[in-house]
Amino acid sequence: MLRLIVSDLLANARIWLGTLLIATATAAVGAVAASDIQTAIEAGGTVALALYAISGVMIAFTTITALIVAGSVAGLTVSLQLRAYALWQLVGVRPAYVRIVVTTQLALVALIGGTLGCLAALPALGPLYRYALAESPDLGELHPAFGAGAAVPVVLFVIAVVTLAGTRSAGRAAHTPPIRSLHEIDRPDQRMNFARAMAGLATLVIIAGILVSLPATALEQLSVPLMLIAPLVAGVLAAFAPLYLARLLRDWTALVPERASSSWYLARSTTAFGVARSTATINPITVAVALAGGLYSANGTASGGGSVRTGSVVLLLGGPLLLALLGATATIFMSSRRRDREFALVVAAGATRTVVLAAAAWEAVIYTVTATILGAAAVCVTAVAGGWAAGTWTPSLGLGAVATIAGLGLVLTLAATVLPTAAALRHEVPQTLAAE
Amino acid sequence: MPVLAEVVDLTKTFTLGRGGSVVPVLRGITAQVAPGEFLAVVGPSGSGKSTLLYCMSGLEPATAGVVRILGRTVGALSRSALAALRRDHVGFVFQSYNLIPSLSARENVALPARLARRRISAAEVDRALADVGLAEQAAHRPGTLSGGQQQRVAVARVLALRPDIVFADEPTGALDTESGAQVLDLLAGVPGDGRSLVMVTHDLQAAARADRVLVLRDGAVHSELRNPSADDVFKAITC
Ligand SMILES: Nc1ncnc2c1ncn2[C@@H]1O[C@H](COP(=O)(O)OP(=O)(O)OP(=O)(O)O)[C@@H](O)[C@H]1O
Ligand SMILES: [Mg+2]
Repeated sequence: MLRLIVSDLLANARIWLGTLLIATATAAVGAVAASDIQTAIEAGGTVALALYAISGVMIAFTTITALIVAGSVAGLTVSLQLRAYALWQLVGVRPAYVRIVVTTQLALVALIGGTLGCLAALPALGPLYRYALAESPDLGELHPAFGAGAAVPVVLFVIAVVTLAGTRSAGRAAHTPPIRSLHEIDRPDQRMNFARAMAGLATLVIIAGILVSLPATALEQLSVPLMLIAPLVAGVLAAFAPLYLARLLRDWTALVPERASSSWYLARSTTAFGVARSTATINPITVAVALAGGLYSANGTASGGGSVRTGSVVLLLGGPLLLALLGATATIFMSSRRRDREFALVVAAGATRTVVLAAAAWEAVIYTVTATILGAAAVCVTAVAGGWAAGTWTPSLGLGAVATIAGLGLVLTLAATVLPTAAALRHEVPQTLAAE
Repeated sequence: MPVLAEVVDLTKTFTLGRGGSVVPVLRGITAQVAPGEFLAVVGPSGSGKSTLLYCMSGLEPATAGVVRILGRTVGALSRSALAALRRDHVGFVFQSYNLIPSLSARENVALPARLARRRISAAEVDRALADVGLAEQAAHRPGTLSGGQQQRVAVARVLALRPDIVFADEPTGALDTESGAQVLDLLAGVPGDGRSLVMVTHDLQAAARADRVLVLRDGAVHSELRNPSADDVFKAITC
């Protein structure tokens, strides 16, 4: 059993490295929130009150982002390897056993990543808090604490998120007749399931709760609940993605006529067909857009356009944003071997390098634009709710923040699609096709 | 008579690992394909047949020697010029894995024309699919087709494009006798009007339909037969 687990981890190093990276990043971001709480407990007094005030939002942002990003990545990890699991079953490994192996792999990688992330966060916590809180007189000289008591829950959280998301996919993998997985290299559709529906509905209930409480909230305290709405809506959108995402992709990308460009045509068909893959990249960017846009929209709407302090934005958003954008990039990197194969086939069918590179670039554009549409919709909910609660008809849409994150997402996804493709084009077609 | 494709003293070696041992796969092969000709390549497994086809079609660079397609030296072309040359004049059917998984059978057939910005009507695509007996599966994606059906879509794709030279690497390997014969008939219709077919095959009957048969062994041309019978091919391979 151990041999199967380890040899498989090595053979699919690219996929597992992505998972490890995201587990590490999730833990590092979680460590910032955990340290906030531990420091508050140890310091007591006014410092504690100030720290508790931000810990709630921090935990909410971190949890939502971690659930979506680590969940997407873990799900992708499994769906990219369906073929291997099918081959295992064909040589006699029982389905239940496949599930155990996959869960163990995920837990192992999450444990290592979680530990690494906590260790990596340690030296960064001091400078981060000093920078972020420099404008607050009481907190400028703060020495953040982060001990085992805070680290263990973070690592456990990472393990829970990664394995839960992964085993659901693994269970599906185990139940799919192996011959079918071998045939359909990329499962064309990602099904809606009970767990997704429950998670989505639960999030909707939370949003409804926040909305109901808004009218009774004082104007100067409105921004905190408001800024939670957009990422929560992003969570709902992610949970229900199987119901609409493929359609949305297909519909808006049809705006460019098929005849106009072969590279667009190729990018469009891959992204709309490989929905499992696309979703894993789109969801994290959606969250990033919703987080940043939501924060600025909430502040703009509730405080009448008052500006947000950079320090607190970095503390609240820095980690989750980094995690989300890293997640989007990692998912593309993880599936790049499959992309290489497809492009090799396209080259064999007569495409030039330029067409292939352009198709890779369009793919990044399609991911980012789709995510921005969804993220902006989530921000609109915040803005409208804010306008309603604050009694203003000119809610702020946080457009600057939305555009900035969309631009950043585009740059990163472009790098993640184009650079590996350029590297792969240096290999000869037969070699790329023979790999795997 | 000008040749469509030729290799002169072609050598191909692979290096295993970084700085590892060098494996010679093709050792000084010289061969030509004339317009209208059907050339079959036979030989034991591992003798270098697929590698020869890759080099001859410009998919893989030669280690030494010259490869020419339509009189142009492949090694001297830029990557994009080579891609354009292949796109406009060469069709290739791989041993397996030919189709883009995200495109339907019909879209796969139309893809090369689309890439070449050449017009191909829906009727032409459908006719090509009907020719290989897959009219009903036109809207299916490769994932839902059998291995043999996928192979036939790949054949329909080169037939629809009508390139000057078609390379096919065991195109009937995955097919039953009947559909194999059907696909072979279609491919055998390619040579003529100045267009040529180069086909790797294990099937002696198929090889016997060729104008010329190249017998490879250990990366070298063991013998060359003109208009052989299946028996002749069998003898050439076994002795
Ligand atoms: N990329 C590569 N790296 C190293 N060796 C290779 C590579 N490609 C092919 N070879 C070796 O070259 C030899 C010839 O391979 P090739 O695929 O051309 O054989 P073939 O005649 O087509 O065999 P088959 O009938 O089984 O398809 C084999 O020994 C193979 O191991
Ligand atoms: Mg071969």
